[in-house]
Amino acid sequence: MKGSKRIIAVLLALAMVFGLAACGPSGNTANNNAAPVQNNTNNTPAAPQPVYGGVLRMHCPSTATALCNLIKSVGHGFIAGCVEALGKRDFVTQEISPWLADSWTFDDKTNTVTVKLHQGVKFHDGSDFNAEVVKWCNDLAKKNNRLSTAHNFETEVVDNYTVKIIFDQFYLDWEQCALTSVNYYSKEAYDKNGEEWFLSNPVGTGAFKFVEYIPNQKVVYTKNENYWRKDANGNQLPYLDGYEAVIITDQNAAMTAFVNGEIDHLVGTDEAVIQQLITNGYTNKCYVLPDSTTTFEVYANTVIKENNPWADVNVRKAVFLYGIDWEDLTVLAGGKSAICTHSISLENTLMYDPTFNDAYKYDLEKAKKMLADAGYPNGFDSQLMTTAISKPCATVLQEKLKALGINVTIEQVGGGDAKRYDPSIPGIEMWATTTNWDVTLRPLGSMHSPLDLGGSKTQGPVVKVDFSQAYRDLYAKTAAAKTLEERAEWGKKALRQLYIEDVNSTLCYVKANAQFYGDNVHEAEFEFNWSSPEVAWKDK
Amino acid sequence: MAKYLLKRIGTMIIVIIIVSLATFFLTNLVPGDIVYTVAGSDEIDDAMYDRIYHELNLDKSTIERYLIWVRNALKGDFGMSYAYSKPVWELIKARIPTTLYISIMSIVLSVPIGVVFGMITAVFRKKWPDTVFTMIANVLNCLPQFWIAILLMYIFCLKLKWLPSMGFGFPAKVGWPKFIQTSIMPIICGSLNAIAGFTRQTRTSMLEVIRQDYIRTARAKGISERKVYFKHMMKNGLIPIITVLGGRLAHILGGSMIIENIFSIPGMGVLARTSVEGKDIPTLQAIVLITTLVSCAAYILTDIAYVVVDPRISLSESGD
Repeated sequence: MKGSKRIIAVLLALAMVFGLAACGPSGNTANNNAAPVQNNTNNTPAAPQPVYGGVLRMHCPSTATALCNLIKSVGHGFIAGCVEALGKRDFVTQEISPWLADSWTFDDKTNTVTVKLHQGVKFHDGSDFNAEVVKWCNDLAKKNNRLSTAHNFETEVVDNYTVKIIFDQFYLDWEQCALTSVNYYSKEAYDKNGEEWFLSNPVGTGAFKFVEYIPNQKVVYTKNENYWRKDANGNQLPYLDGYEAVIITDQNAAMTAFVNGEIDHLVGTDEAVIQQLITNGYTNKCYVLPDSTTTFEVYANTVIKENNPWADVNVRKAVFLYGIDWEDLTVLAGGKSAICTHSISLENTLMYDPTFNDAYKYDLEKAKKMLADAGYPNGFDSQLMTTAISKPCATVLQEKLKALGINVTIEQVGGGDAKRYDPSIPGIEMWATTTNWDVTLRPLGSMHSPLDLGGSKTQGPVVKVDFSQAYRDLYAKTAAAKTLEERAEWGKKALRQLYIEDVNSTLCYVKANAQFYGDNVHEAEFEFNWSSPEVAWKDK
Repeated sequence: MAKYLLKRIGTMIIVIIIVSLATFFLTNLVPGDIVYTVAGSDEIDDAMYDRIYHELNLDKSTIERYLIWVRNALKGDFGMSYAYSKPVWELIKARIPTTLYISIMSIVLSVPIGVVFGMITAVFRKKWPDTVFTMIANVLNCLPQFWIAILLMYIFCLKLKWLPSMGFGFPAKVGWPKFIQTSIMPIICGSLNAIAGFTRQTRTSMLEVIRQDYIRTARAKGISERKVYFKHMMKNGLIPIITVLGGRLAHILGGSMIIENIFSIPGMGVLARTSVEGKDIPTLQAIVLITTLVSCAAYILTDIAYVVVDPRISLSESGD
């Protein structure tokens, strides 16, 4: 009897253990169960009519340290719908339509944009949106280095509802710079409450009024009943009762919240989570377009000339054009959602060149022969500097280089580490950045903007790369272009010179965060950087 | 007793000084230029760089900066958060209640359950309840907290759809139903490991007590088993539990980091993580200091509790 009870006890305990284990996500089967199949592609009826009500809960994968982008860097998801700009850029067509500005004209003799402001717009605190506020906000953003371009301009008040934005020289992207690079906040709120308050209490003109920020949890907005815009049918905007930017840093937790319907949107940064959702029928609606994509790029220190194999262009060609299987590296380091490309201009962007990637042909034997011809038949030792974000790419690259006999030691440094800006440190470096694909804004991507556009003079590639004169000439012509066509023509040549002829740098792959939306959400498919949820709506 | 307490408080002050020194100097070794972190951008001009550099007292020696920091900390001024541009104390003050609530409720839940389980295993030693509960305790002890959290989410959020997977708010803010809903999973998650710990500790100490002569005497006198368990055994058997409890209390502010991050609860754990990620050194220093202070206080309270529970234990010089 005693023995049988003991057996029962053991069996019960085992059952409990297996029960627990069976509940947990183990392997694909369990993972598939974790996210029930939903098809949110295009199954909704044609042209559904917007309905009022509901709260849109958008996911933000990182926390907000401030809510005023005139002073500090703020992810736009945290202030979307609350603050607005003079113009609104369509991130697909790149066209700018009037928003807080009614119209504008550009005088190319004086490089001046004259902007007529929309009259009758009020901030959430009741103060008037006018020319004085525009100048104040522009100046504040400039003072705090918060403009999205490094262009130099002054703002002048002409009358209550007219401002002049005067550039120090001609910039092809004057329209974007003058109309979309600054969001407008209430000056009265700043004067009344001070900067500390202002940083975390946004007072804008947008469709949603700020309610509260619960740090590390969410930013809550409520409908602005007096919003100044109406939809195409004359209905008052916004449709939603509220908007929340919900902060969930853990990707598994975010996925659970999304599948459970607690949030309407998910930013996928973890490859396993992205693939799990895709496997279960969700659609990644990310647009791999300007301003949404992180590039992983490797460049070599070519400033040091002696005892530096990387200073030899033939070594760089051997390694980067032929010696690395970039497709394989992309999958291993970036996952299935990463895109293997070597050009900073993707399809549909200004300088897109369909034959650009043809120059990269993986041929290990050829690479080894070229290395031998360059005087390195047995490879060489070097170092590879990386930040945390590009560590996976660096690790895979390290393994790939071993096949060529090149042994690199990885050194991980912080983003602002002085070593990254020290040209006396030899080796190669991974450079991960959210690239400005819109090459009208910065002709050849943010990496190279400091060459002539007044950006940082200390960024890694600029101080560590010995850019050829041929590239510098082409770059200068690209930057000085007066038309988009002219910029595209010179830009393509400059990119070829930089990446294929000089091989100063090689783009490994690009990767954008995945964007998933609940199937009850409409018109919310926005890129955080450029849109707002004033026209979004949810099914009842 | 008073002498002992003074001695312990003295030790606590030394520990805090050592921790503050270590924290200050180690956080100052963090790679990267903190000026850029404060500016929020790598692209700042020299004038702005210089302004921030002086504001952060970076033109002074590390020792000078440490002394300035200590002087201000003693006045309750932990400086401004680099990341949030708010006074650090304000950030911490807003998060302490949440973390305390989750941690204390986890302890409140785990102590009685753990003690009951422990008593059952001791009383029914070598019988099936002992095997079952010991096995449960061992399993719970082995399961990592993050896995338990994900498992709970899977069951209660995805499958049963009973509970929200994230967030937390006190009743005054979100109402009682939401408060209770958002409390359940974090508290259970925080309790399970603790239940295992209390079960094992109770079992061990009860088994020691159960062999004592006074228990045998009590039984010989014809006292009911119930009285023997609850009056004689429990009273003495639970003293070692105070040690475990003290250890739990010592981590009351810093122990819920995993839970807070997984369930998106805005507490001290999340603040600690974001301050590390964002190189928010003043916040990190303050968190470490306050956590140390709470830990030291918890251990002193544990010692005092021993005396209160068991008068045979002395905290006098000779009795230590």
